[in-house]
Amino acid sequence: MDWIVGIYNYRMVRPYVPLFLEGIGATIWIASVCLVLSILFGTALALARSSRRGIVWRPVAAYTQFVRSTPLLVQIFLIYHAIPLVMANPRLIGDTASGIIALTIHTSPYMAEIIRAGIASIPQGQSEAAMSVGMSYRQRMIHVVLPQAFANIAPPMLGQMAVLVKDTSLLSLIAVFELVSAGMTLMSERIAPNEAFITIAFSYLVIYFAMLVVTTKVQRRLGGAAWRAG
Amino acid sequence: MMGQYVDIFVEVLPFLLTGLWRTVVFSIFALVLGSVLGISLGLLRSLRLPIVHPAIGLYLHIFRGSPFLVQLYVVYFVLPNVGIELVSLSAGILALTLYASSYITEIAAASIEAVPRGQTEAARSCGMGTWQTYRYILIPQAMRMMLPPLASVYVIVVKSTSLFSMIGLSELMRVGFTTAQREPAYVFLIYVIVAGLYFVYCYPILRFARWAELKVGSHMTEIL
Repeated sequence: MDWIVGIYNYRMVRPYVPLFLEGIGATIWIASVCLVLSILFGTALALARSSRRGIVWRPVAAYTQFVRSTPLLVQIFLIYHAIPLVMANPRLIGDTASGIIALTIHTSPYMAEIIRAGIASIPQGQSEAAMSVGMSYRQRMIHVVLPQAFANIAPPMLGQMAVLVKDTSLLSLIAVFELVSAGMTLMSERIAPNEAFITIAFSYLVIYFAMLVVTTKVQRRLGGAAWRAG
Repeated sequence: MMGQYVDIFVEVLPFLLTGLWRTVVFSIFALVLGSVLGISLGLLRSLRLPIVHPAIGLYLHIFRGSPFLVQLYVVYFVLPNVGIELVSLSAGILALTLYASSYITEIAAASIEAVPRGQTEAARSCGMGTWQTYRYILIPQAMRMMLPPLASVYVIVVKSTSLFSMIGLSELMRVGFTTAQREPAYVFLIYVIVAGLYFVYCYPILRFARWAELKVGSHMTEIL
């Protein structure tokens, strides 16, 4: 077992295990908050994007294109530096909150594209039937179209969730505490790059494979059309 | 008021453009190398050989399951400790090549498999071997389908080069950081210009990807 200590000294990592667990927890927590926010915001964007009025869909389209053609790192720094410009009291928003805002702004357009595809996958007849029993636009969306759409898009959405978890790693660069920051603490206290970075990479892979198992289960369970939508 | 911003813009633009130029060079290098590696692995994967097929599958999972930032750190900080000496440039290009290849492998394998089965069967019944089937039947048809998703990967590669700033390569993002340090009062403006330059570079490629996808009629960009 001695050869492994030369490359990866697990004895050095042992005291840092609680810190890494905390980091994993923070990563999952940030990703979950962003997921919920971006699904809500993404749904709004998807509905706006399918509007027939140019004044509604054009800004959304421009926003989507901007997010897709610039790196997340630039977006994070833009938001980070924009907050003091627009807020009277920037202290109210900490690094973590500004990171969450940036990630939500980044993820929502991707979510919106997925949700839009989901809405498009629902046959027109569903909407027409709902209309013929006297439902308003709002009722049609909430009770008929969106529930079916969300069942259809579970697979691509889980994929987007995996991307979101990976994207949280960039928040370490604006001093948010998460998995990479936990590893960086080990790196700076012990100057042990192998131990620090291999542990970080391994932790991400554990999260990823856990999500993969869940995704496969969900896909089997939904079966049929949902399976093909992915 | 406005004049100040214009002055700053004119002052910092030449620096940022040198950064953009390096971003262009790095991304083209990584895309070309990543395509060579990715297409080879993709063809190999489409053969469905025992051991090789799951091994490539594991490779894909590892590179798609961890953030590029972490991969970059592992290549830059860990490899020198196990006897592989790398300067930041080769570390960055290597990490990005591996990352890009994980996307391209999947695209190449999916494109080969998207060629209708009858094509392979027809080739086999004409007496073509596996190599000939690939060379004359599968690869020419798969190439067409690969182009649109490859353009999308190119955009991913360009965006990922922004992380090279973390290992000290002076590409666009890094030049942005140093410029922002020199002009602390205009940090936001500088990042807006940086974002604008990335946009100018990536947006046409994205448009091309969408156009090519409509033309080819595949929907493979979705697997990204």
